[in-house]
Amino acid sequence: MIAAPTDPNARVCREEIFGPVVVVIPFDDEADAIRICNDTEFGLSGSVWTRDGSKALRVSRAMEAGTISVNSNSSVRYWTPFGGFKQSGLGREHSMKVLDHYTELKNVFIATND
Amino acid sequence: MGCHSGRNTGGQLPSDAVPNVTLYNPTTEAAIAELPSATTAEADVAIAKAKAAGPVWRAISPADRSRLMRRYADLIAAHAQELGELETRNMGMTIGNSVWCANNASDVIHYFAGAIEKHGGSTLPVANGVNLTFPEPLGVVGLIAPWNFPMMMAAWKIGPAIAAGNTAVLKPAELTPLTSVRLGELALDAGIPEGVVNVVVGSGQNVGWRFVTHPDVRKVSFTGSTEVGKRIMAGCAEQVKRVTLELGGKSANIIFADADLEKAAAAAPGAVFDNSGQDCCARSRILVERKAYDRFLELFIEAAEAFTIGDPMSPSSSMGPLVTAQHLATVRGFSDGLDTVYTSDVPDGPGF
Repeated sequence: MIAAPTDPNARVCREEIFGPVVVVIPFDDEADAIRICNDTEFGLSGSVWTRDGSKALRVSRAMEAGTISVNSNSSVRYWTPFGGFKQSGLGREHSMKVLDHYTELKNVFIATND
Repeated sequence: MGCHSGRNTGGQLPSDAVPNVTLYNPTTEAAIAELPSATTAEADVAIAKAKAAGPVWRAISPADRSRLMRRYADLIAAHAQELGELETRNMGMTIGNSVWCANNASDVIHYFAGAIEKHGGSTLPVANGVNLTFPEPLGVVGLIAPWNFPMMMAAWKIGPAIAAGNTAVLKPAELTPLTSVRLGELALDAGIPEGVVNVVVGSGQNVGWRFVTHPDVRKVSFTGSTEVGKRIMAGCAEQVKRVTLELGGKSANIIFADADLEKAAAAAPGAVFDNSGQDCCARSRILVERKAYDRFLELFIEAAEAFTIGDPMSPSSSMGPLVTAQHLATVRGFSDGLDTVYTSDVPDGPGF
C-alpha cells in the first residue's frame, strides 16, 4: 500500500508499522531531506539515491541512522557493523566489532622492576 | 507436520505448569504444532546448564572450537531446504527468503568460527612493567530473537556469543520457535558440547524476563520492539547487566532528482514490502525531491504492481501473509482511511 499523506505528523509517517505500507513524501532540497529524515526517534537504516558522489557522502554522514546505503537499499552484512542510532537500539551486531559486546576488556599490569 | 518438540536442548523440562503453545501456519491459519512452554523454573534449569558448560567450552582449544563451529555451519547449510520450509510454514516468509536466511545463518556461523582465533587483546606502553589487555568472556548470555526473521537472527546472536567464549540461552519468539529448536539440535549434532547452545521455548514473561533478572545471565541481547527493549534495558540496570538492543525503525529512502530514477523505483518495493514489511530496516518513508516526485511515483507504482502477494511456498510470490491475525489488525489500523495512491490485490481465501 502506497500512501502520499500531506500531514508529516500523521501516525503513518511517524510510527513503525511493520507491514506493507509506505509513505512517499516530497522534499525541496538537501537540507529539507535531512530535516525530514531525522525528524523521528528512530535511526536504524536508510538509503540515498543520487549520481552526485559528494552529495551522497554529505547526506550519508548527516543521516541519524546506523546503517546507510548509497544507490542501494541493503542494510546488513555479517562482516560489517549493524545497529541503530537513537531509539533504534544500543550496541552493534556483526563484524569483528560485535565481539567487544560479548566480552569484558580486562587490563593486567605486570611489574618488571626488581 | 505433527508435533515438533524435538530434543529439548534446554534440559528436561516438564510441561505441566504452563499451557503448551500452539503454533499456526499464517498462510493456511491451521495449527501446525504444539510445544511445551517453559516456566521460570525451567528457564533456570537451562541457565544452570549453560553456566556448567562454560568451563567445558572454554577448555577446548581455539582451533577445535573453531572446527566445531565450522561443522555446525556446514550442518545448517546441509539442512537449508528443511529449515527454510519450516520457517515458511511457521512464519509466512517466502520460501526464497527462508532458504536464503538458512544459508545466511550458516555463513554467519562460519564467519564467527573464523573469529575465534583472531580476537585478542593488546599490549600498551607502561613504565617499569608490561601491560596487557584480554577480552574475557562474560559467561552466560541471554539471547532473545524476534519472529520476523527467527532463524537468521538467532544465528546472528549465537555466532558471536559462543565465538567469544560464552555459553548461550536462546529464547526464540514464542510464535516462531521451530527453526530455533532445530538450530539447538544441529549444534549438538555438530559436536558442540551440551549446554553451550540452549534453546528455551517460552513466553517473554517466564523466560525472557528471567534472563534480565537471573544473576548468572551476564548479558541480554534483544531484537524486537522499542517498547519491550526499553523495559529490558531498565530491568538490566538493576544488576548493571550488559545489554545489546536492536529495535524498531522508520528508515528513510532519500531519492534526489539526479538519481537513476528507474533503478531507485525498481528497488523501492523490495526495500519496504519484502517479508511483508515485517523488517526493522524497511524503507517505510520514501523522500523524493519535489521536481522528480511525480515521475518517481509513476515508476514506483509500476514496480509495486509486479510485487505479487501469494502463497509463500510458491517461488512466484514476492510476499506472503502477515504473521498473525492480530498483527494484520494492527497494520490495518494504520492503513484504514488512509489517502492511498496504490493498494495491491490481496488473494481470496485463508491467510493473515
